[in-house]
Amino acid sequence: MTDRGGVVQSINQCLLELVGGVKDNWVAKPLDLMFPMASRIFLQTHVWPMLLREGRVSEIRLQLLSDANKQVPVFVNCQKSTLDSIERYTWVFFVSIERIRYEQELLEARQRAEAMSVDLAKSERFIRTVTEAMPSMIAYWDFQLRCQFANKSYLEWFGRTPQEMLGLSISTVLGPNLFEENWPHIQGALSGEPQEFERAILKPDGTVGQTLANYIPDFNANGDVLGFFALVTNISRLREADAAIRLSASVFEATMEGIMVTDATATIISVNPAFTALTGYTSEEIIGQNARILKSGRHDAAFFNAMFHDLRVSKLWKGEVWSKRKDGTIYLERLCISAICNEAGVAHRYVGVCADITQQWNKEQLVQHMALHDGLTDLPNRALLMERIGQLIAMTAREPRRIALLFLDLDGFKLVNDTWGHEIGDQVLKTVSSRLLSLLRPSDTVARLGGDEFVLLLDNPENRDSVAMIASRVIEVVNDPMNFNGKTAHVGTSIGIAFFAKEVTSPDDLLKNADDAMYKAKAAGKNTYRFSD
Amino acid sequence: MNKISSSSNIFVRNNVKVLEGDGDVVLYAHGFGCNQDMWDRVTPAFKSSHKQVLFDYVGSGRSDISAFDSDKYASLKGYAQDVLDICDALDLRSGVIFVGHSVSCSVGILASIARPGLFAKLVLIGPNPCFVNHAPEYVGGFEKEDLEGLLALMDQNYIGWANYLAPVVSAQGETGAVTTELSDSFCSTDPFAAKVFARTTFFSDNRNDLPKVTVPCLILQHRTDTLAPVSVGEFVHAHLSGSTLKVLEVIGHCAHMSDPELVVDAMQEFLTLPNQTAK
Repeated sequence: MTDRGGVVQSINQCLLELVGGVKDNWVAKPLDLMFPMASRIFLQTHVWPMLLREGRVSEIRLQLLSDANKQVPVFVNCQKSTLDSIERYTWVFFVSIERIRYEQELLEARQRAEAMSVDLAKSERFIRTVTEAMPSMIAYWDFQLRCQFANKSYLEWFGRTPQEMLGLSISTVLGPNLFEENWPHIQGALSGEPQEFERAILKPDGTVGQTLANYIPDFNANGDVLGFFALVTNISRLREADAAIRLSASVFEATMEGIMVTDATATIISVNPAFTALTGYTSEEIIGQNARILKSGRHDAAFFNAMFHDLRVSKLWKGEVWSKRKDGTIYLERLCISAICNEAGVAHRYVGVCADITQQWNKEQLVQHMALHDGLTDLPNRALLMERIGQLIAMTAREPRRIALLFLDLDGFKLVNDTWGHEIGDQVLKTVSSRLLSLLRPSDTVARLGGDEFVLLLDNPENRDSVAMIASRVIEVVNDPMNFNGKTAHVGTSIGIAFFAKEVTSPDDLLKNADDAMYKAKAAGKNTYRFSD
Repeated sequence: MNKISSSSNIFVRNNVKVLEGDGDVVLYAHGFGCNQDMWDRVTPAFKSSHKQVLFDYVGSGRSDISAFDSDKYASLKGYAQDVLDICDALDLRSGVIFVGHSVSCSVGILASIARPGLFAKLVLIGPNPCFVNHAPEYVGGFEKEDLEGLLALMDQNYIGWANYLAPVVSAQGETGAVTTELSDSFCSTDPFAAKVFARTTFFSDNRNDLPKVTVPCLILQHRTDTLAPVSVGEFVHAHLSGSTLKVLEVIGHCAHMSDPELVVDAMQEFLTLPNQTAK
């Protein structure tokens, strides 16, 4: 028995046997001393507040400190009584070994269960953390097709909250159309067959996403299907990338331009069909070869150095290149090379796009040729002649050289024309042309000015006599009779010779001087030559 | 963590009771293991002179256990935040007289440091800023091992509770709180919350906070108190500048319940003193 401060007023023998000592050791001492510290705290924080308010407590579990300094579990009841307005608290301690052991077992069972459920909660939280972190949609549908689990992505795609999702049927979640489309796969999964399929899903925000769905059946130990896991991956971007790649590939395949891809060392790693058509190399033959296999030999090292320089500096080179086909023929290509850089900014691929422009080049060459040559004889015309005279005159400024111009006018050509017709006349002009060419060095020029006028331009002849000798030879070969299908034609020529001199300032002057001299030859009876001075 | 809750939510969360009256506001904060009922022998004395506010910490009494947050209440600052939330919900700006018991003395101290202008005076019944001994300079009364024994005893005594043996640990629950049908025993303390509160109470060390208090304090020290010996009361007095230490001739830790008249007299004397800021 204690007062309301917990000071012992009396104590019976039974309790003394538990806590030790005799009555006088305990009277007027705090009851607290009978307890270990934890029980004292519990008394002060839990028992006394209740006791003071309600006047009684029952079946409080505490530990008593035995005289052997051991802790003895006890049940405690306490009842307040008031006598002569003095409060008394009667404490009853009882030891119930069996009950305490039983309760201890219950408690341990509870603690084990609690620990297990904490572990379970932890692992569930872990699984949830993992599944929430997944960009894929993950859900579990039981055999009744009710949702038992859906991760964050799944909820977002279908615009559901976690609360409304659980227990919802798959037909409600998917909607009638998608449910109907997926029904064969749902049935398949429920019959134990894993399913994989692609599906376009209309999301709540109105956009359509491409998905790859896996339905994985969940079996119990007996092999019965309990439901299935749905793993749905958003492959929209993959599909878009696929489409872009397919488009690029079809462009690569179908384009008219030849395309060649090399690595940084110019080893060819890919070519397209147009490239094969252009070069004659199949991709099997050329892949792995160095691009130098295409070199024609028409360009010097400086040309390629400039190309590599441009590629280094501007990652791009455009130009025309003579290249060599598999069969050895040379062709001209218009080539555009782009350097493709990796993340580090280093060029690791070169893409060359080329087109064969040989024919175009040939055509241009022809046009250019026709502009400067006589259509009938293919000899240089007046324009080209004047250009060459100009070139030679320009060269005299650097080093002194002799330039001789022989102006020829055929004698008797009009008669041939009138007698045999223009066709024979043309044959005569062509024959004269080839005879003149046969007389001269490649550095000399034979030109036709039109009609029956020819000009020989001699670069640096030895002297006046050698020119006179050439003039005589010319008269000789021109005078050779010509036989065309049994018809014999004969022409002669009068030649005026002029030399370049200081007072001659232009090609026209030189030509005029020779022309004047030719008239002197004509006046002298034709088929002869005269010098202008 | 601090959700903006409407006033009514706070009233429900902390089971706030207001005893209307003319005068300054007295706010009572119960200690560990108890609830607001422990003040019912003190409040009648101030019925006409003060407006009195009572509440339960989350997890104690008839508070809203669903608001229990084991992280928030692992620190006494979480409990101090409850006190400030209640003042805000009642639109109290200043002049509040805080009456705290046991660990709530530290809660009041933390609240007054956070909001010095809110409180006019603190009444600290059985304060202990640090229950655990820090030998040799400080004797709080307990060793860390004693707490394990206390937690085991709490478990053993909660065994009689409905559902306590059904380990319903909510797997998804943020708090992991055990939902238990509460009986009235032990002041309706939720077992899970009680264990958190026990750890927070016995492992907090607020000795360094004492000098930061600027509000006048009355320390009501029990003559013989297992949980807060006189030496601790003297330590608190020494470190709370301008505080008043009054030793009550009481054995135990709950003078406001065992000897309410002593507490009422001391409070009335202290509250009639003119408000003055501690130096």
